[in-house]
Amino acid sequence: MLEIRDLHATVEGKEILRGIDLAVKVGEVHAIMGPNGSGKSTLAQVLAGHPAYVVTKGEVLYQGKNLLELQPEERAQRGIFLAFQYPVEIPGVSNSYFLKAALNAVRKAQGLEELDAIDFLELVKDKVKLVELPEALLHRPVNEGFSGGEKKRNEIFQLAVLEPRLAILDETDSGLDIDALRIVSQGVNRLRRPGNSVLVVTHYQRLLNYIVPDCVHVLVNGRIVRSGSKELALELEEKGYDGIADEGDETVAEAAQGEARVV
Amino acid sequence: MRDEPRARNDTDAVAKYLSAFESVGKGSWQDAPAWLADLRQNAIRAFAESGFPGRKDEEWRHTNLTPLLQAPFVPLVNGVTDAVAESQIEALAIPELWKNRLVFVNGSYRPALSSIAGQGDGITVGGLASVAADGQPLLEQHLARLADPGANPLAALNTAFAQDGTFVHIAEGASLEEPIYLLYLTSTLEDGGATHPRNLVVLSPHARVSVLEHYVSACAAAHFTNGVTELVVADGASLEHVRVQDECLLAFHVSATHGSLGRTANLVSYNLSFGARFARNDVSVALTGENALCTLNGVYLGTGERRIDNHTSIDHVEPACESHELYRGILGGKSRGVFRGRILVRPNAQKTDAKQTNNCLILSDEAVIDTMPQLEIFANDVKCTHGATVGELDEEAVFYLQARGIARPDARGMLTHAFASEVLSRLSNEAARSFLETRLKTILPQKTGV
Ligand SMILES: Nc1ncnc2c1ncn2[C@@H]1O[C@H](COP(=O)(O)OP(=O)(O)OP(=O)(O)O)[C@@H](O)[C@H]1O
Ligand SMILES: [Mg+2]
Repeated sequence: MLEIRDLHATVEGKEILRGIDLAVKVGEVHAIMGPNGSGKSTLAQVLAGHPAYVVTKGEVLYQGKNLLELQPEERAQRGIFLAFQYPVEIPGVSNSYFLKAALNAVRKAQGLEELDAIDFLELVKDKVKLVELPEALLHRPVNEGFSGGEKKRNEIFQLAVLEPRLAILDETDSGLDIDALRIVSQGVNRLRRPGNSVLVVTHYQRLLNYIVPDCVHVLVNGRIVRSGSKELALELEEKGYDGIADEGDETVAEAAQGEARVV
Repeated sequence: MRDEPRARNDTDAVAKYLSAFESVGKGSWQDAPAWLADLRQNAIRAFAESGFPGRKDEEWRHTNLTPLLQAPFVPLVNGVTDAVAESQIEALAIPELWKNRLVFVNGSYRPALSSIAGQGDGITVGGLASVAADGQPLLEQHLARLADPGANPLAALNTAFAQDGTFVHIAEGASLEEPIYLLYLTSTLEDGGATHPRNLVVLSPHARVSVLEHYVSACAAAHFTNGVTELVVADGASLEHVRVQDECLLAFHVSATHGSLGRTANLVSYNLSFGARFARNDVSVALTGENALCTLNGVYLGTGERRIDNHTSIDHVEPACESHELYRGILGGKSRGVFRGRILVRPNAQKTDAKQTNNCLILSDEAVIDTMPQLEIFANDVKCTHGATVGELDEEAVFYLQARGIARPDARGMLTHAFASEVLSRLSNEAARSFLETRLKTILPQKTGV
C-alpha cells in the first residue's frame, strides 16, 4: 500500500524528517509514536502533499506509484485521507456543502457517478450515526467555532463519508473525552476493510486498545528509532522515550540527544 | 487648500449638463408643486457653481471622475428608448419578491408593471413624481434634507434631473412583512443615457420594513445611473435597506444613500456592488437619537479594469449608539477599489460603540485596494475599533479542501465565494439571499487562479 524509503523533508529550510523508512501493507494498521516536535505531523503532511514541506531526498510509493509527484487533491482522489491534528476552520462554507463537493470530486475522479442532493443526504444520515456527530454541525461552516472534540469527530465523519484506502490519523484521540474516544475509534474500526490500511499517530497507548496496530514505530528527531509489535506501545507508556533510549540502542540514544539539543 | 482652476473636461461636461437641464431636465415633473421646482432650480444652480468634484475636494480626491466626464450623459427621456418586454424585465428580477414591487424603466416609473400588496394600513408606497403631485406633505418635509445638493455635486445633479423614484412611508407602529422590491432597469441601445433615480423612505416611530433596490441593465451600453436615496428612521423604527447594483460592465454608477436614525432606531444596510465599470457608492448615516443601532454591510466585486469606490460615514451625534460596519471586497484583474470609512463621534456621543471592518481579497497581482479608515473622536468614553485586512486566500484552507479531493482552482473558487457569502448570509429575506448567492456564483469565477 505505502512504502517510504529514506525520506528527508524540510520546512522553511529546516530539516525535520531525516531518513524515514516505513512500509505499510494492505490491510495493516501502523502506529507512530514519538515526542513532541519529532516530525510525526510533518510526515503526515508530506504524505498528504502540503506545499510547505519540501522533500529533499527519498521516495514514497503508494499503490506502487510515485506519490510525491501527485497534487494533494489527486492523492485524496486515489484514496489517501489525512485526519488533521489541527483541522482548519473555513468560514462561509457549510460542512455539508463542502463534504458533498469533496465526495463528488473523489467519485468523479474514480469514474463513479456523482451523488445528487438526496442520495448524499441518505449517505450522510448513516455516517452521522456512525460517529454520533450532532446534526447541527452539518449546517455550520466547516469547523468554525467547533470545540476541539467536535473538530476531531468531524474529521472522522469525513473519513466515514469518503471511505479512503489509506487513512492517516494525526492525533485524532487528543481532545476527545473518554466516550468520544470510544465512539470515534469504534467508527474507525467499523470502516476498516481488508483492502484498507491505517496509519495512526498518537501519544497514548489507550487509543491502540481500540485500534489495534500490527506494528508500532517510534519516531524521534526525524527518524524511526524503533519498530515493534503492539507491545512496544505499552513499553513506551511505562518507560517513556528516554527509557527506550537507555536500553543501549545507539540510534535511539543519539536521536534522543539530538532531540534534546533541538529543544 | 489650493483653489485649482477647473479642468477643461470638467468645464465642458458641466456646460453639457446645464444645457441638458434646459432642454430635457426642466421639462419633467410637469405637475410638480412649486417648492419642488424651486428645489430643482436651486440644485442645478449649486451644480453650476461647484462643477464636478475635483482633486481638491476631500470627499472625492480618491475617485477619478475623468472617465465619467469624457462623454456627456443625457437623461433618458420617457418613452424614447425604453421598449422592454415584460418578460425581459421579469427575467432580471428577483422572482420571489415580484409580488411587492415598483418597476422603473430608464428612470421613469411604470405603474402598469408594478404592484404593491398591503397598501393602506399605514403603508404608502408609490412613484415619487405622482406622490409629489398629490401633495404628500412628508415629501416637502424630508426630500433633499439629508442629501444636501450643496454638499455633493452628484446629488445636486440627481436632484435636478431625477425623473422619478420611490416614495415609501410606513406609519407609526405599522410594518410590512414582505420586502418592498424596487427594480431600476436601464435599457438603451446607445451609449450616453443617464438616469437619476431618487428615493425617499420615511419610517414613523416603531414602523418596520425592508426595502430592496435592485439596479440592472437590459443592455450592454455605456449608461450612467446616479441614484440618491434618503432614509428617515424615526424613534424605535427598524429598517433593512438593501441596495444591489448589478448593472452591465459598461455602466457608470454613482450612488448616495443617506440615513438618519432616531432613538433606539435600527438600520441594517447592505451595499452590494456587483457590476458597472465604474461605481462610486456613498453611505452616510447620522445617529441622532440615543441607543440607535446601525449596521452597514457591503460587498464589492472587481474584475478587468473596473473601479469600485465605497465611502461610508457614520456620525455619532447622540450618546450610547452602536454602529457595526463590515465591508468585503474581492478584486481581480486590474481592478481598483477604494474603501474610505469615516466614523465621527461628537462630544456629546459618550458610550458610543463603533466597529468598522474592511476585508479585501486580492486575486491578482495587479488589483489594488486603498483602505482609509478615518476616525474622528471627540468624546472620551467610547469604544471605537477599526480593522482592515488585505490579502489572499488562506492557503491552509485551500490545502484542507484539496486534501479532501477538491481540485485547487475549485477550492479557491469555493473560498472566494464564501468570503462574500458570509456577508450575504446576514440578509433577512431567504429568497433575496439565495438569489444574490446565485448571482455571486455567476459573477465570481468558479475556479480561481493558481
Ligand atoms: N509549517 C511549519 N513551519 C515551521 N516549523 C514547522 C512547521 N511545521 C512543523 N514545524 C517544526 O517541525 C518540527 C516537527 O513538527 P511536527 O508538527 O511534525 O511534530 P510532531 O511530532 O507532530 O509533534 P506533536 O506531537 O507536538 O504534534 C517542530 O519543531 C515544528 O516546530
Ligand atoms: Mg503533530
